[in-house]
Amino acid sequence: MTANESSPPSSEQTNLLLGTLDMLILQALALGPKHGLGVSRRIEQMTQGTFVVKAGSLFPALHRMEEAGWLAGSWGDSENKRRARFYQLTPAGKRQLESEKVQWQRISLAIAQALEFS
Amino acid sequence: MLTRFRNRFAALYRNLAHKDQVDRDLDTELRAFEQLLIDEKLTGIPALDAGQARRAARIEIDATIEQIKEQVREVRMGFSLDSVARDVRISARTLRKQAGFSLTVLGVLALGIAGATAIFSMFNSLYLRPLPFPEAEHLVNLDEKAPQWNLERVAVAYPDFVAWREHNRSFSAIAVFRGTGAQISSDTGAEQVPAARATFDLLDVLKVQPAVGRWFHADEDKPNGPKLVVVSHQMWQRRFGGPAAISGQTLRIASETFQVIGVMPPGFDFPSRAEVWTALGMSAGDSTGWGLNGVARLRPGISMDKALEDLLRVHKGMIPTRKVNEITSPTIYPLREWYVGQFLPASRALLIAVTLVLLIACANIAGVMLARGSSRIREVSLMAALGASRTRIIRQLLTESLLLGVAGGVLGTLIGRSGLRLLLGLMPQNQVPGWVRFDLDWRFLMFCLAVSMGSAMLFGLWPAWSASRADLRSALHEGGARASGSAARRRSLKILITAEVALATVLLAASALLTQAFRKVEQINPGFRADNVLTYSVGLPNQKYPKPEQKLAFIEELIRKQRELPGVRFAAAVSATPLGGHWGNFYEVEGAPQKRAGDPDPVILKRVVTPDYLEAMGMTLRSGRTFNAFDGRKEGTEAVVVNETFARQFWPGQNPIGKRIRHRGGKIWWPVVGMIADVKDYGLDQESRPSVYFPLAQEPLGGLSVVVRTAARQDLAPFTNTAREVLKRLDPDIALARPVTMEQRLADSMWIRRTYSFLVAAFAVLALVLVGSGLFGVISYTVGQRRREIAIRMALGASQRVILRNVLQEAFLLAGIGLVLGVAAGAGLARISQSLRFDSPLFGVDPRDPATYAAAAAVLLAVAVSASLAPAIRASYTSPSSALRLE
Repeated sequence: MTANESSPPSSEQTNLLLGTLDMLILQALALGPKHGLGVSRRIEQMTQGTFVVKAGSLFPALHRMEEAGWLAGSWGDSENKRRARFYQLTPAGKRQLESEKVQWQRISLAIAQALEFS
Repeated sequence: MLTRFRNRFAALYRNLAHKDQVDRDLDTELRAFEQLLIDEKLTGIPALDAGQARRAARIEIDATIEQIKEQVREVRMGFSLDSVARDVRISARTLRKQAGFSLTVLGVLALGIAGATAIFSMFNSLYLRPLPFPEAEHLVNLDEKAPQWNLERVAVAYPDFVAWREHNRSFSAIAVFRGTGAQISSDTGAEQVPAARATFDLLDVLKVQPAVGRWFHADEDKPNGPKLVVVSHQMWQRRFGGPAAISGQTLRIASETFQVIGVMPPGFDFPSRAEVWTALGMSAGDSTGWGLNGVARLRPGISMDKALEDLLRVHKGMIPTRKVNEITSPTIYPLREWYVGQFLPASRALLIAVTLVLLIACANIAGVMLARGSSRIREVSLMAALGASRTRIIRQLLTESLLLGVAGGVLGTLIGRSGLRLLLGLMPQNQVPGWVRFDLDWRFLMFCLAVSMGSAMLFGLWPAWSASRADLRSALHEGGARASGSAARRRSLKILITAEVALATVLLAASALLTQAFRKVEQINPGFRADNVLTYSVGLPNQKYPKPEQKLAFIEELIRKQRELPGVRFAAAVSATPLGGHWGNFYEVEGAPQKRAGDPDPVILKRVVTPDYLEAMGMTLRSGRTFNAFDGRKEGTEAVVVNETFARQFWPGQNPIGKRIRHRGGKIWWPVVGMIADVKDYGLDQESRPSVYFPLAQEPLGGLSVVVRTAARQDLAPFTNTAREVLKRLDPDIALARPVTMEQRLADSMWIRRTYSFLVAAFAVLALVLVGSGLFGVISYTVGQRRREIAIRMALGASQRVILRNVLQEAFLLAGIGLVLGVAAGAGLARISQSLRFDSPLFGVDPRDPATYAAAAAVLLAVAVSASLAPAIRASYTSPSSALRLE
């Protein structure tokens, strides 16, 4: 699961933690179908610009997740009438998002506790 | 689970097969992304011009479209292949690490699959493969039946065929043929080969053409037509060395020269094993009786019922000019049923038997895997703790099962193939038509694959599911595993072993019933003594021996020469030996009331014999005398011998000797001089028909079997060689055909019954071994799990005997429940088998015979006890102090 490795992180942008890209993409699609650029913009918006997903990471991830059966892709028209490929969550994708959320909360809690531990 | 696998393979297929399409889509998608980005820049807050927007977009994308495409492609392909490969790799490693477990499972599975593949392969060859003719599903066999004569298969009469051919509306082609032997002369002597005489339309029915030359024309298929012959590819190669041209090639058959006009393609085999075809050459007025096989091709869309209706209309329409058609009716069978239908009950029984064995094997393996599951709980828990989803764990465990399934399948298929080859090697010749092929085909491979995968699912799914359900937290604690999952696991194991016992009970009872039926049939007195009797057939060509006296003289000379050979006690000739075919006729009895139309009129078996025949065949004279050399020699010396069934039917309660019979409507009355015990002419498990024996002198024939009884046992090969020399000195154009001992004939007639009785018994033994090992495993496992409890009980004063009894009781209980279920299932199957007309395989043995079930139950209980004895004894030696050491 490669994240944004191809480009060096800029000062305010953090390298995505291994495995979190999937979760972010799933979360970005939680409210409805989006095309590639839409997903990218939504992640930026959700993380207040902390994470910027480049096309070189985004598209391999989208396709991998489609193969895994979490996303379903279909062709449609964008808001300015451009033909684009839209992705939406499948039931399996929704389940995956739920389980990743739970796991993430556990891990982040554990790490937070570990860091506070002295 | 399954949908996921399907999605995975569908995606893989898409990626591989529609690579271009996928690639184009990806390109479009990425270009659209770039365009959207440019649009965004154009309308952004600092609105850029077109050139700037393009540059800005390119900077943000930070890679070329081609680079991204390459990455996506890698991901797509890799994901599909990788995850499967990874599962397989991990599984193989796990299995290698546990070689003992893996080998046990492999062995059990291979045995189960071996039986299934061998029997399926046989079934497939006989019943599933298409016949080797174009559009074979439209081919049917035509015959006639006559219930009034007690004959289900009369064969076809030529006049009937001619009318059918002319007036039917159901067949695109229809033909008749007669399978015979052709005596082919050469410099080294005569050789008899299987042959057929067929009407000119045979190849229209089969839709086959000669590879070289041509087949007969309609105007060549008539009495005294031109002497033309078509030969098989094999014969062409062997006899003529396969030259390219056939013009001028001839074949000497039965002392006449035939011109070779065609060579059939290699592999053409109809009627079975025929090497030489000549025109039937009969005339429409021929009334010699019923002796032809009919074969026809249904028009597309015409059902067999429709066709039969049509034939009946034609057949019964002939009654004004052909009165006998009041009694006979045409019959239609699918070609396959006609030729291999006799194997169907046995094949079904064997298929059921191997299915049971396979199920037992799967239950057995599932048990082993369940038991092993307990030792793997920690491993599975670790996987779960590291974030593997439940499906992921099940998939991993199932992949192991599938690997085992594939390996077991390959091994089992190999064993099964050699088993089948062994079986076919033991099969007597001519049991199945030559066109039945037993080599591999895709159906067989699909079956093997399906069976291996299906078994893997069957034995793998439950254990995998149960392992994935294990309570993870407690499992990670030392010793917790046993407390939580083990009760449920023990219950599952008990259910499995009970099911195994039930299945084995059914199989064991079925095997016992079939074996009883076999013994019963085997003990039937055939009515002749098969020991030390050797036979062969000869046929005198009509051309060379046209007169009855000539035929008689030749046969008598041959018999005399044969009699003079050392070690020969009796030599004789007969129109057909017991188990050698039916030849029927109708006779009337002096003083009998006139039969009314519609009265039962069973056909009477006719045998023509030379004087010493009854002695040579070892038949039993009940009263009167056998034939002497003067019987039937001239007018006034006519004589016949009848069998008991004949006497019982026509002269119930009277002495048949001195009574007279004659041909129906004939002039001369023949006195009955002797009565013999019934002979099982049609097989040991078949009824005898009323039979009449005539002296050869009274009705000389040219086609006979020579029967020789020797004083001591003689081998067939040297005997045949000597006989061949004798025959050659008398007439080098006459071939010695079908040499066989009567013992062999008898054994061959029992082959199907013997084989399937033996096979079902073998499968039953296999089932017993599997159940025994399964029980051993389960009891060992439960004893192991209860070690602590047992130790405590012993510490509290329980004796070794109590513990022993306790463990054995458990085994008894499990076996007992299985037995009850098995007996119930067996009784249910018995009812089904009766409704399926399974009476012929069982031959009057009651499928619900209580003694048989009791015996099967006793054997199973004995197996259960011996399988659990070792673990029970081991348990009884548990040291009470070990209770302290165990955690």
